[in-house]
Amino acid sequence: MAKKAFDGLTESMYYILMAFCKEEMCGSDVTQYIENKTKGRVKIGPGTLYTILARFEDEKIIEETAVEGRKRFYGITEKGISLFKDELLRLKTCILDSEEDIL
Amino acid sequence: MRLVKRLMPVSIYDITQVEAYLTHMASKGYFIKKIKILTSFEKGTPEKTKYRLEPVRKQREEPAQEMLLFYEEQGWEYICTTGLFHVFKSTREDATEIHTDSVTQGETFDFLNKQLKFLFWLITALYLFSGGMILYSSFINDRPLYFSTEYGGLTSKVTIIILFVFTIIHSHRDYRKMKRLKEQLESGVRMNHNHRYKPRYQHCFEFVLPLLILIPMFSINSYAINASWEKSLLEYDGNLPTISITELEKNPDFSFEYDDESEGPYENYISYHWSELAPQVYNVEERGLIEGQMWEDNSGTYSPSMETEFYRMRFQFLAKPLFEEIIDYHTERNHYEKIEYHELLDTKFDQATLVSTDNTQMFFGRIGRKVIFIKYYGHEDLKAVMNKMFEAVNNFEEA
Repeated sequence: MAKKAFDGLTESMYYILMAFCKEEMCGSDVTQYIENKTKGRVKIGPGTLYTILARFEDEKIIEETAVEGRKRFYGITEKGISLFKDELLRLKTCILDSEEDIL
Repeated sequence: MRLVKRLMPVSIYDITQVEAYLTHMASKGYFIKKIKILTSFEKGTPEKTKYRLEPVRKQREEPAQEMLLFYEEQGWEYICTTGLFHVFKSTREDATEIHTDSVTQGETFDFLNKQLKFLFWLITALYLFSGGMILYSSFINDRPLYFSTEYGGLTSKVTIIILFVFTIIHSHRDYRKMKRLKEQLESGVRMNHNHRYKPRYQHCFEFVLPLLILIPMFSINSYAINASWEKSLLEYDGNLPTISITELEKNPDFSFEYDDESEGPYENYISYHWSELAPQVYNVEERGLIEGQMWEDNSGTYSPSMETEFYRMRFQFLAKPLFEEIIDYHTERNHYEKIEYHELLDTKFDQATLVSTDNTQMFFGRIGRKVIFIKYYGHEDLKAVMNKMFEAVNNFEEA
């Protein structure tokens, strides 16, 4: 799922993918993981989380692995891992480019 | 608990204004329970409350359990669904904003925008077609004035056209508003939920306007129906807007044909109706016979008849075009084999034309706002009673 304003994923999408790269988890765990990882800098609202998970599942970037009551657990697919790696590489390149010329 | 109902003072498509209005009501102790035509509130203790409207993602969508779980965990309670929006509320100061990613939020408007776009084009196509049919049948024909004067309904047609145009504009405005919002979100501009509530009631006008124009329409139609009447000439003792056939048929054996039945259509009658363009429209029909006298071709007993249409137009400038349309209508409609037009210049009428065919003479006259059409079927000469016709028309006042 491409971000429309730019070429890459949005920050929220990127961190959600990062969470699933770590392990299978439910939506609540994803929110908690991102908050801890970014020390509260990035917050994922419930509407954003639900929308992104639904789209990721539709596009087979993640898949459901278990259901416990109202909670659904998801794991990342090969397509998702590849998408995350591509984005990571793009971001690294951006940082390298900036460091070479500006810093 | 008893619900208090209020009219939403802002349009549902002014999303942040709806949210601000609901917050404003909660600060007064009114908490929304459902939105139909009116918004229902439950009375409680005033509390600082945030509200958010979330577009539905498919038709008649109930929020998914997983969705509700995410929202509840972050302090948002589901209240209701109204048409194309879910309504959530939160009383927690620290509740995370529902959407922290505007690009993703923009995608949630996909279904809503498709629905509004479909609705706009459906309404436009349907109303343009219907409006076009009304315009074509009423105004864009050869005799629009005669059609409107004789059959009335001008107010209804104009009202319906105005309502069609109004609905198309209204639907286009909603569609454009949501399209623009989606584009803004997708370009990274976040929704500002900190708007202050400003009651506009502008959209209430959208409900009121149709009523404002429908009430006069029904009133006028009702007046037109109630004002019209029809009487047998046996019962009618008022003035006629025309001459009687007896001014032409002087034979003492001439007698009127009256129906035996006291009810039903009459052979000799006068009728009146009102229309927007002509407050006086009279139709008079007289039929009689002379026993023992035959038509020249021996086709039967000589039975002359005379039909009159009398119009007093609301404005004088309408009389001349009506006069021309009536001539056009009555002379073309019957496709006479032989027809002669005589413009009569030596009468007191402002304009007068006599049209002759075999046994039929048609007189068309105009005086000021009054227009008359007389069709006489018989052996006598209409020109002989021209002055009497003028007097009858000129002196005629409403009975």
